[in-house]
Parts: sequence; structure tokens; C-alpha cells
Amino acid sequence: MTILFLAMAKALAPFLALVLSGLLLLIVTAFLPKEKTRLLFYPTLLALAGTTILVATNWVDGFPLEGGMVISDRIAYGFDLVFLLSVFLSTILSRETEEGNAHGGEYYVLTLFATAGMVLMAHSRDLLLLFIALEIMSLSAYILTSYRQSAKGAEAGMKYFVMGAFASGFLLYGIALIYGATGSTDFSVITQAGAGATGNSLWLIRIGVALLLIGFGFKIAAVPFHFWAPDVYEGAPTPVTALMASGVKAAGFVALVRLVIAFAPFTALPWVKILSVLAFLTMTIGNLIALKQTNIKRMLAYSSIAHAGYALVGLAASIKNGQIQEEALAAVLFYMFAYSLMTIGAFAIVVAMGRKGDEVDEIGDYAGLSEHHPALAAAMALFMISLTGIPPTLGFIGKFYLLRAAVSSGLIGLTVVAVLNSVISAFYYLSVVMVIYFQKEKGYRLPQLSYTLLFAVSFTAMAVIYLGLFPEELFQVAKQSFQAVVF
Amino acid sequence: MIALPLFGFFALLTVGSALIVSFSRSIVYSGFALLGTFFGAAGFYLFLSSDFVAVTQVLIYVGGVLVLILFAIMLTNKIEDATTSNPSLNRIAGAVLTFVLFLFLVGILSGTDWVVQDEEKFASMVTPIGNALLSSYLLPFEVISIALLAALLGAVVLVRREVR
Repeated sequence: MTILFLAMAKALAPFLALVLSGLLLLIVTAFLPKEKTRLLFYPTLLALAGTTILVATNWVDGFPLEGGMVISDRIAYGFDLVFLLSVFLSTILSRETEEGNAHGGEYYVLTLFATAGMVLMAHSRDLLLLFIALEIMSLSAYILTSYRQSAKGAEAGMKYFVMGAFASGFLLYGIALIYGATGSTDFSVITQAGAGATGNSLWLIRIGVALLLIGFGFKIAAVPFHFWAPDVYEGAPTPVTALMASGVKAAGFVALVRLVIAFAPFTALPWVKILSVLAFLTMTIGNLIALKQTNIKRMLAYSSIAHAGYALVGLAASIKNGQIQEEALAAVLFYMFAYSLMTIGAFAIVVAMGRKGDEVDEIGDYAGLSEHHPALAAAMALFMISLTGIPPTLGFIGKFYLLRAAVSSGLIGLTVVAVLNSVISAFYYLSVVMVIYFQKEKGYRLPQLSYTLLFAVSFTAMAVIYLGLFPEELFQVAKQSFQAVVF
Repeated sequence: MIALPLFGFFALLTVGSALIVSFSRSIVYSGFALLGTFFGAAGFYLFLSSDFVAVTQVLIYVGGVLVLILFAIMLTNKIEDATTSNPSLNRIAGAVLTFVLFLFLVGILSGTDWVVQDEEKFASMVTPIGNALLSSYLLPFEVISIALLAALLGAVVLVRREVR
């Protein structure tokens, strides 16, 4: 009993830390005068940093424990680090926007709750708990999306909510079918019961898994479940968009990773084919539609769809002859980390170009940035190059690991498609660079940089270059996260 | 032997009202027809000897959700106009897709060896549910409160007036 209790306490510690600090801030904000609520920015960052330290020490510790419905293994802690980093950076961005300032309090509380949901998703080994964790994250994200009271924000929030509820329906139906076939929602019980399942009850599990794939496909905005993404990304406040593109997407991927690990060995579904088709569609359609965008947030939304496609290549490569390939899953984790850094960097510059209360979204507005703000222009160029996947940046390394895993799993065709997609994506990423460097300025007022924003941009830029040159250690971390995968 | 006709009644009620919900051109009718679907589902729960779930279904869906939906419909301007409020799109494609999915699911569900418990005398489910919620499902039970809190907070955030 005590061992079980300890195991649960350890696995739940990051979740509890985030929830408790959220509750504390909620109480504090009730007593703070309205104009002071912006001060909650600092305790929020403190809570996130504290949880990061907790998670990092637990990762180093590396001793997997399972108890009840939760698990504390390095997969969970590895993804926790991605979530916490994304939330930390996007919270820094919110300092510069209306949301972080005007009606402070709740914004930070909801951010912490969303993070808690993501963390719990990574740590749950029970479909029921996974679903509740997903709902905590999603509910907070819906509200954050429409936090700005504008018609666009309301539309985005509503769309996100309706599509999210639709996805939840798929998830619940899938969970119900799996429960019907195996009598449990616990991953380890399901794998045991599933191994002995035959005939129709195996088919029941298969349909359940397919429904779960659709549900999580919505969350990571994989084609053909991506329709909501561009409108939502455009309508949401930019820091929240950054959070959705990085943290929420990574949370969807941790669920998919758990799904693959738990179900791929026994369901005998054509996993590689399904995931390959999904990856192919997601990459290609995301990139092709991104070509036509003139709004930078929409462009980054379609780019985020495309990048989910690249990560799905890694997921497709993670199954070879029914065996889990740890290195491919490690590449997925690495890519989530890399993509979060690059895309939050790009969104930081979108925030920098706007000012409190209004945003500058058109790519044409970036003309002449290089003359007045050479550093900002260079950083934007760097992020665009990295998103394209040109060496020596982090984006290149991330794709390299993914494609290496794909080749070693024999997915040559998909690898070629991914490379071709990178070439297509170069058109629209580099056209932003062209606008910044070669187009004449239209007389737009130039941004003032605050120290927090400067920190976000320089931190992400340095990380993109440094990790692009010396990725080996980080990849080792990702790889060790997937050593001895068990349920 | 009243069970079979009773089951048939609930099945008809559920499916019939669901059809009205889907095909009625007026969203007001659709909203009211949902009442039958919810009641029918509650009846099924009774057949599964889940009295607690049946009562909850009536309390929450009929008493709460449906009233909320009807309020939303009544408070929305001009929504009773059938051509704008409830159009049907892609009927043929939808029918084909639904029919294929229906056959597929029926084939699998009817062929499955469900884990069936022996027929027992009807026993109230309240105690087992209460025990499960406070023992093996304590964690999800507690964690849901965070989801509810987030939703509550969100409701407050979304309806507040802009103060400038």
C-alpha cells in the first residue's frame, strides 16, 4: 500500500504542483486590485520553473514507477519537459499582449491548468484518466483561445470548442469499445487481455483504436482532421497560438506514442500504412495550402499542420514488424522539442511586431524590418530557415533524426515525400525572409522591444543554433527516455 | 414477458426521436425531439440494471442539458426560421456513409462474445458506484474537479463585461 502510494505521489507530483499553484493564484487574484493582476506573471513563471526542476531531477533519477492509474517513466518526464518549456516561453510572450495585462489573473490560472492537463496526459496509463486530463487541457485551451473579447476570438473559441467536443466523442466511443472488449481501461490490462483476444472482440479493439486515432488526430491537427486549426490559430491571441502549436500538439503526440506502444504489438492493424497515409496527407496538404497564405498566423498554422505530418513520419517508422522502434519514438520526442522552440520563436516575433491590443498579421507588413531592426530580422530569418529544415539549424537536425528512423524502418517512399515537402515549404518560409530583406518598407511603425520579449527571441534563437550544431546530448536524452519501454 | 415490448418501446422512442432531431427542418422541433432520445437512453440504462445512471441521465440530460439547449434556442433571434437554422447537406453521401458504418458496427457488435454476467435479481447500483468512486476510481473522481473548475472559471471569463 505504501509503495503504491509513493508511486502515485511521485507520478502525480508535477501535476499537483501545477494545480496547486494555479489554485493559489486563483485565490490571490481574487484579492488583488485589478490593475495589479499583471503581477501574477512572475509567480506563474516561478511555478513553471519549479515544476521543470522537479521533472528534470525525476528524469535524471530515471526510476520508473507505476501505481494505480499513473506512471512515472522517462517518456512522461521527457514530454513534460517539452510542455513546460513551451508554456514557459509562451507565457513570457503573453506579458506583451493584452491578455497578460488587462484582466490578468484568470489567464495565468488557466495557463497553469492547461499545463497540468498536459502533464497528467503524459503520466496516465489509464484511458479514463487520459481522457480527463485531455479535457482539462482542452477546456483551458478553449477559454484561452477566446480570451480576447472580439468577434474573431469568439469565433475561434467556438470552433475550437465544437471540434474539440466532436473529437472527444470519438475518443469516448473508442474507449467504450475497448472497455467492452477487454473489461478494463488500464493500458497494462488491455495489453494482456488484448493479446488473447480473437475474432470479433479483437475487431472491437481495432475499431476502438481507430476511433482513438481519429480523436487524437483532431488534437494534433492531422489531415483530414485539421479544418479547425487555421481559423483557431488566427483568431486566438498570439501567445495562445504559440502554446497550441507547441504544448497542446506535443500532448496529442504523447497520447499517440502511448497508444502505439500499448496497441501496436497485438492489434495487428496495418499501423505503418495507416500512419504513413496520415503523415503523407498531413505534410503535403499542410504545405500546399501554406503556400497561398498572406497572413502570418495562418501560414504558421498550416506550417504547424505540416510539421505534425513530419512527426507522424517518425511515428509510422516506430513500428517495424510489430516491434516498437525506440529510436523512432525518440526522434518524435526530439522533433516536438525542436519544433516547439522554432515555432515559439517565430510567434515571439509576431508578438513583437504587434503592440498591445492590435496585432500585425500580414506578411507584407514585415517589409523593411531588416533596416530598422536587423537583429529581429535576422532572428525571424533564422526561424524560417530552421522551420524549412536547412542546416545547421535545429529544424534540420530534427528532420534528419526522423528521416533516419524512417529509412531504417524501410519507409523509403515516405522519406522521399518528406524531403520533397521540405522543398515545397522552402517557398513560403523563404518568401517571408525575402519580404523582410528585399521589400521596401510601407511606413509601418516599428516595434519596441521589451526585455521579456528580447529574452524569448534570443533564447529560442540561440537554442535553435546551439542545438543545431550540438544536438547529440539532447538526442541522447530523448533516446534514453524510450529505453526499456513497458506498460 | 413485458420486457420485450418495453424494450421495443424504448428503442422506438430513442431511434424515432433521433430521426426527428436529424431531419426536422426547424431547430425548435429538433430540440424538443431530443427529449425522447434522452428518455429512451435512460430506459436502456434501466434494462442494464443501472438505476443510478438512468436517474442521472434524466436529471442531467433532460433536466439540465435539454433545458439549456431550449433556452439557447428561444433566446436566439429568428432561429425558428427553418431554412437558416437547420439545413441538411449532402444527404446521399451521408446516407451511404452512415449505412455502411451501420452494417459494419452491427456485424461486429453482434458477433462479439461480450463479457456477460449471469442474470441476477435486480440490484441497486448506487452502492457499487459509490464504492468504486471512492476506491479504485478516486483519482479520476478528484481530477475531474479540476476540469470542472477550469470550465467554471472559463464561464466567468467569457461572460464578463469588458471594463476599459
